[in-house]
Amino acid sequence: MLNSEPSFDAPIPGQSLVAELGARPWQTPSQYTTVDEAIEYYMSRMTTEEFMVQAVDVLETGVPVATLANTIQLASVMEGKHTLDIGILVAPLLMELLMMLGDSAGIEYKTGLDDPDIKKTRPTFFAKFLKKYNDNLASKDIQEIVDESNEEEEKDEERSGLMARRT
Amino acid sequence: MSRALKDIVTAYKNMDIENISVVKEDTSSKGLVKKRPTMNSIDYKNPAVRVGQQMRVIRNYRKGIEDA
Repeated sequence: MLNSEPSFDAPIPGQSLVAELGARPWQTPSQYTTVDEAIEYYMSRMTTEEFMVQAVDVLETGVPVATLANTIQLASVMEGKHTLDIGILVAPLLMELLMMLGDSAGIEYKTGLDDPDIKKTRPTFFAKFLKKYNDNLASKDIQEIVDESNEEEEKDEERSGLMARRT
Repeated sequence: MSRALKDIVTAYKNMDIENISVVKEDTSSKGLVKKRPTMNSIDYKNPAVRVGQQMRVIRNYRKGIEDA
């Protein structure tokens, strides 16, 4: 959908370059440099009651597990806890943990593992169908098609009465 | 679905945690000089394996919840 009004809720182009290099947490060496350290960090953080209650609430609202796990790991990257690579490596574990929380709470949640694009009709399929239709139309005489349709209509009209003989 | 999200979903789906080899203790002999299980069968240097092992523990716990 097109917005008629411009949105100003966005960073100014070049805004990321105005801060000193190293001033942002993600520009400094990360706090946890190995997968084991990152796992330990998440395990201690995600097994607190406060986090569990909040995570279950978020899952109940319909946010997929994959999205939530991605948000959690990206937030940690922004905080300078670990690198993006470690975040991607640890993300499956976060998903499993979140699913466990959902199962423990007995709620229904979306995993986010199904690709939503898979159910969409491909534009190439439309193009293929249109080409077949046009080829089919070009091979037939239009007058012939009109005659055929007229004949069918006449037949339908003949059989439309209540006392019409059923075939 | 954003690209980062796709990567995570792919990483989750490719995590073959069922087939990570487990070191089982040899119960055939109980002597002091019995052969100890070696750790070579698991590639501990691979971070995905380390994550996979943690995931397996959690998945087993989930299965326990589902069965109960």
